[in-house]
Amino acid sequence: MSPGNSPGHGEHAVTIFVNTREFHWDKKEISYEEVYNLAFPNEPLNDGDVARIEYSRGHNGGGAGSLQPGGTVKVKENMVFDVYVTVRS
Amino acid sequence: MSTSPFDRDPSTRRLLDEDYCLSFEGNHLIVERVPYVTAAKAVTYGRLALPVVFSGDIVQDGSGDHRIWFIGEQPCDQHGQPIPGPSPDGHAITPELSASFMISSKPKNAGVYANTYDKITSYVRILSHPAKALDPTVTATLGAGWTEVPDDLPFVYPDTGTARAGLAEMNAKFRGHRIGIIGLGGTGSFILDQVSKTWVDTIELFDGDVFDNHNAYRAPGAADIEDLKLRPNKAEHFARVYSHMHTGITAHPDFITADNLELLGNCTFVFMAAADADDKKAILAWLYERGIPAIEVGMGIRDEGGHLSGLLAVVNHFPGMSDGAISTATGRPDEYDRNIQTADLNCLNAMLAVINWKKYLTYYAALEPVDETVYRIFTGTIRNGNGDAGEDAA
Repeated sequence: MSPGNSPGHGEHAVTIFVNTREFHWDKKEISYEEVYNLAFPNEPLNDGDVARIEYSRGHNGGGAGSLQPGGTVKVKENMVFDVYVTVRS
Repeated sequence: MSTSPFDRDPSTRRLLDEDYCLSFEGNHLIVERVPYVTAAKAVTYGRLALPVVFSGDIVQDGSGDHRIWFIGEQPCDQHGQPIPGPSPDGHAITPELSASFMISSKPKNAGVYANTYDKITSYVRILSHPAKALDPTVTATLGAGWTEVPDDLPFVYPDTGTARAGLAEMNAKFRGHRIGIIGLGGTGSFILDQVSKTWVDTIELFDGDVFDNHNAYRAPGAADIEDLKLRPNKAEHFARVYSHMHTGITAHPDFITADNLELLGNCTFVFMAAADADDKKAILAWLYERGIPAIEVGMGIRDEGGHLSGLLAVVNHFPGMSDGAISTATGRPDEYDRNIQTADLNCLNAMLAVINWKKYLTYYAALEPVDETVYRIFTGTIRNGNGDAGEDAA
């Protein structure tokens, strides 16, 4: 647990994983942009660039899927996010 | 059969010397006109077929496999009762010809047939004895004959893998296809590795880059140091290596850009595996307008404090598919990007793409069309399909 990573200290904070690292999150939902900023606080996306955000262990029976720009998803304890720009081959 | 590999095969020579009528088709040795008895107690003729094992272009005499396949009705004894041994089993010899029975009868003493001659004559006896009981004049040795049906497959040496597995009918789904692979880096080279082993007519490779040591460490097989010293073009290097097997490969030592898209015009399917193509979006749009299906691959991998994590993505662009998935063209390498790629992840991404291609061709079964497949290193999960399908968390 690293309190420095926490954006807030609310009573209902949950632990989520973003790019393998633990974060505390005290809102019920998290947006595409908020997940991206947790993963890469110092690397704003260039115009037209889109990172791919995959999540799992969410609500509704371990809900998994991809979070699109502008979208949000409900958070849950130990929810897992992966945020990467998939341009290499 | 002066130029045939069967010239040197002693079993084939002996069977012909004894007046068996043989043919070779779809990598199967076929014994024509084998007498047998049907359930209606009628004497008739069927055909025996066995996959031929080649070492290069040398016929191996005796594969150790005691089974054989039969083209005909249920073989019976002289009373019209099914004889033991044959069991119904569809086995494709060519896309047009299938056997309907597999026959399994091990030789009593050794358990294996010493050679193809022993195997074939033994099965001919099993089938024709009841026929001879009903009509003593019937025989499998009406006169030697040899027909070799060329398979017209785009290979340097016989595809006996298909014959052994009986997949000729399935593999016909690749015929007539002309595949383009844009980018022969870590992922594109592994895509070629698989596509070159299918029955596609032609494969066109596009890459303007040089094949250096670091590429060798992310490519299938093991590159020769002498090849690396020559700094070959990637497309030309891989065309040369894979032409050892597939005869329809052409190298284009050029990057595909918005200015030379017509080079793709002959393709029936395109794999987009170029990491640095600035014109990726234009290329994909051009293909989409012409109804040429395409698959793009892309990965993002980072050092997450002592271990690597990331995503592998395969994005399908098939006719009629909505454009919902995130393209690998929506991002550029930036100053933070170390371009981490590893051979196993390149390979996995390529295999996910090839499997999606084979699903598109209906070679593999597919529950439903999907527009993307994403593998997550950290969770070890694969998600198929767009958006927030909740059921794929494994």
